[in-house]
Amino acid sequence: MSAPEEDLLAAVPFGVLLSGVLRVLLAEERREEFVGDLVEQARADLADQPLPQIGLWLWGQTLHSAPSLLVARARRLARGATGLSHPGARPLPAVGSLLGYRAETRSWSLPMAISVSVHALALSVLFVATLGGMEELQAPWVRIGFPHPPSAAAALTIAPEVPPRLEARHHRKPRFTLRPIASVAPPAFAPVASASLTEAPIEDPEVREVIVILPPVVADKRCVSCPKPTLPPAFVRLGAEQRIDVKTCVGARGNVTSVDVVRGLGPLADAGVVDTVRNWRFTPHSVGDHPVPFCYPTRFVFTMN
Amino acid sequence: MLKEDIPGSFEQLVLLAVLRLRDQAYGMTVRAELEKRTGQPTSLGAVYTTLERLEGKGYLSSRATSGGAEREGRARRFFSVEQSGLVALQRALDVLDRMRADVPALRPVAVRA
Repeated sequence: MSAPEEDLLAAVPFGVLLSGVLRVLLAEERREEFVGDLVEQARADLADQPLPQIGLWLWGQTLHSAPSLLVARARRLARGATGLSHPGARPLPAVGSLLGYRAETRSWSLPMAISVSVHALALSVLFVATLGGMEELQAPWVRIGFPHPPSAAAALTIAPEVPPRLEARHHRKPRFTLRPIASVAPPAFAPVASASLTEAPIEDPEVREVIVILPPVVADKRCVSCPKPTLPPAFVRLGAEQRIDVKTCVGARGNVTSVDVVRGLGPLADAGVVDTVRNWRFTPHSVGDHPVPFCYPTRFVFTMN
Repeated sequence: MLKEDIPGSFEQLVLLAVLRLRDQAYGMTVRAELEKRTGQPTSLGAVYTTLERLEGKGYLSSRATSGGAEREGRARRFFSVEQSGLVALQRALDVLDRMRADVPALRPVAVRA
């Protein structure tokens, strides 16, 4: 054999680099044994081979072993263990043990597992609730709410002119002006108008309604007579778009029950739009066999044309 | 009730190789025995990690000795199977026997000596 007897690993081409690779792959207490095995086998099987051939074989053996050695070393590092040379070494707490996993018995601590499960469930509920709170940020959107179970919905009697109480369900301050609900008696000491921004309770069993919010593209298709509003000439500016956003609520018979300006241009321009929309007519919208009132956001964009 | 550990297939092979090699079982010889008996190439790294894992489970014990000139003085670690390793290996082989028994597509279970 042409290899020197003192250090085969250092004699082969790129032997120093190979030593570095082995230093990465193996802990010190295992590296000596591993290299010893490689050298012993190389001297036994490749005795008549030139050094480059031996080096190639050593590189091949090392790289072939690299995946399993890397995984083993990563696991050992994750466990915080110091290796088999210190059998009494106590491993550091790993993520699994923090979650109640007992590696020595391959089982879970029941109290800890219950605690983790409850927290995971609570986080899931919070996540879903957060998504629900973001519902109104999505557009277009459709929301159908049943105040009563479907079995009771069959016996609903829908007051034709009861305005929808959409915002009463929201936790945030409503964006639109609410009107007092006919079947909810206002307090004797308060005028009716004072209830306009109050979030009316909806638990009243006498109030039976089906609330529908339609996206504009759906509501527009139900429109039978919808002449476009116009702006007073003074509002038409050259090269600038003018925009008015309103919320239109339509009764069960198809007539417009309310028009609320969400974003306007001023009392004069808004009044013209509101007066026009108030005369619109729609095909009634039905849920099941029952015509129901609905609301939808409407945007008017005025240009020079 | 605690789940009984059943060594995996490669762990079974390594345990069997260590048993067959008796007092000459260390990394290189275990790898050679596996390749000889299975006909499959086996990396020395896989053998080392499996030996280490089995030792961690208490199935194997080891003793380090100083190496000779053929190893350039590097240490050598011999492995031997502990009683718990024997029990676990027997359990795994019994499970395999029960699973393959009466399966027409397979040859009948050979009688172990």
